[in-house]
Amino acid sequence: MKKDFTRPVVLTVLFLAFAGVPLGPAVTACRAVVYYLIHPGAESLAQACRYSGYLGESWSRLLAARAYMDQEEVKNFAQRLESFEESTAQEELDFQDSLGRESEMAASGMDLPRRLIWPLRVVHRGLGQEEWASRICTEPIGLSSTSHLAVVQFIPRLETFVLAGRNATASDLSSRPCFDLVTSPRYALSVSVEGTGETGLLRGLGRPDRLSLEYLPKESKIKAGDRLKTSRLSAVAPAGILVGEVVEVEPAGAAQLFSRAYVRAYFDLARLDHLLALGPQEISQNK
Amino acid sequence: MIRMLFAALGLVILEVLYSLVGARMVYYFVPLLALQASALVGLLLGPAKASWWGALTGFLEDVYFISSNGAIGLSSIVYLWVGWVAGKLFYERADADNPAMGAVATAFALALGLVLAKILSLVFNVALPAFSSMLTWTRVFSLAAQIALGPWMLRLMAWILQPRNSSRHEAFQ
Repeated sequence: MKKDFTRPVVLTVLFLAFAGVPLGPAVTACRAVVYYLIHPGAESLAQACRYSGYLGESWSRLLAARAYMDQEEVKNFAQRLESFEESTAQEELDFQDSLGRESEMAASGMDLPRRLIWPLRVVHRGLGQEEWASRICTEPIGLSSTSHLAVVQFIPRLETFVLAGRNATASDLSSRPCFDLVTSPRYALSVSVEGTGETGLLRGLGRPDRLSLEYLPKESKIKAGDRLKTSRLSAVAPAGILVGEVVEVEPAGAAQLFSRAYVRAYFDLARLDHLLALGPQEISQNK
Repeated sequence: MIRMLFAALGLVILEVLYSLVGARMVYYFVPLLALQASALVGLLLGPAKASWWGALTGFLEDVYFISSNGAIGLSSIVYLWVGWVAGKLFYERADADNPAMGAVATAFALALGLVLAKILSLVFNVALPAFSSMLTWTRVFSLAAQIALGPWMLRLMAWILQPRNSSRHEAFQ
């Protein structure tokens, strides 16, 4: 009897001690991990085991759906790529047409003196606040770096070609030709004022909307709105090409010999995707 | 020993399955079933084996049903004492051929078990979900049904726990 009674008492003491250990959180945490590993949405272990049977099927369905979506994505991508290539080819055709038309217009002598003409595609613009309005680079031209080229742009609004710039110093025309725009501070050319016939030196300021016209006679009658054309003194650009118009006149002071004006260039900085290069006069004559 | 392990595991698995379909009802019926089984084990196998059986069953039940604020071992204490006391009182006073005592043992086990569980839950300040003190109609019906079915439960437990003569066994005799 005594031995029989001892056994449940000892067991009770052991279980009481065991019950005092806070195992609840640890056990529930481990159980939650097991549940989640078997099935994330299960509320109990048995439910997780029951659901685990569907996991293989679910995975195979998921993978099949994924493969189908991948195929559809590849098809859509191929279609988009094809349409993109078609549109690009069409754009290229339109671009070539535009270049061809402008080259024909220039060669027919509508606006420009007879010169060798190269259509140019702009591939690079100068970066930075000043360089953006100063430098462009185009596809290579088969000419030596010593050649002097002027570049002109056709402006539909004016229905004529206007001066855009000239090839930069030390720029290799056969590899990567670069051009200084008329708004570049590295470019200066002599221009004549339409109407008055006065000649001045036009300098770029590195600003897209403002050039400086210097060395005007002190008694010049120039006024805002007057148009400027390249003069016969220019070594590169042929004479008579429109450059810009006067926007502001700064009269000479008492101690100054010349007056100054500010000019807005006609060429369109926002549409500098293609230009025409005009070869030297001599080449044209030799031809 | 094998039969006792089978009965303990079978009871806990039965509780688990019942909890899956019975939802909240598990808190009313499952521990009552375990109390009845503990008492019947004591009645059939004696207090010593009943205490071991109750300890194992309670431990398995606690491990499975434990919540984060629960404790492992309190159910074992309840079942082992119910089994031990029931064994002391009813061992060798009934068997499968004379099962009426099963109802009495069941009623005694339910009363003792509920009181013990209530004391332990108060001492340890844990919510023993198995032993709610609410006397609902569902609970009353469950208790009455268990007591009424006590003799048949005794036969079932005897069939599970006690060795039976088989033809193979006779062949060796």
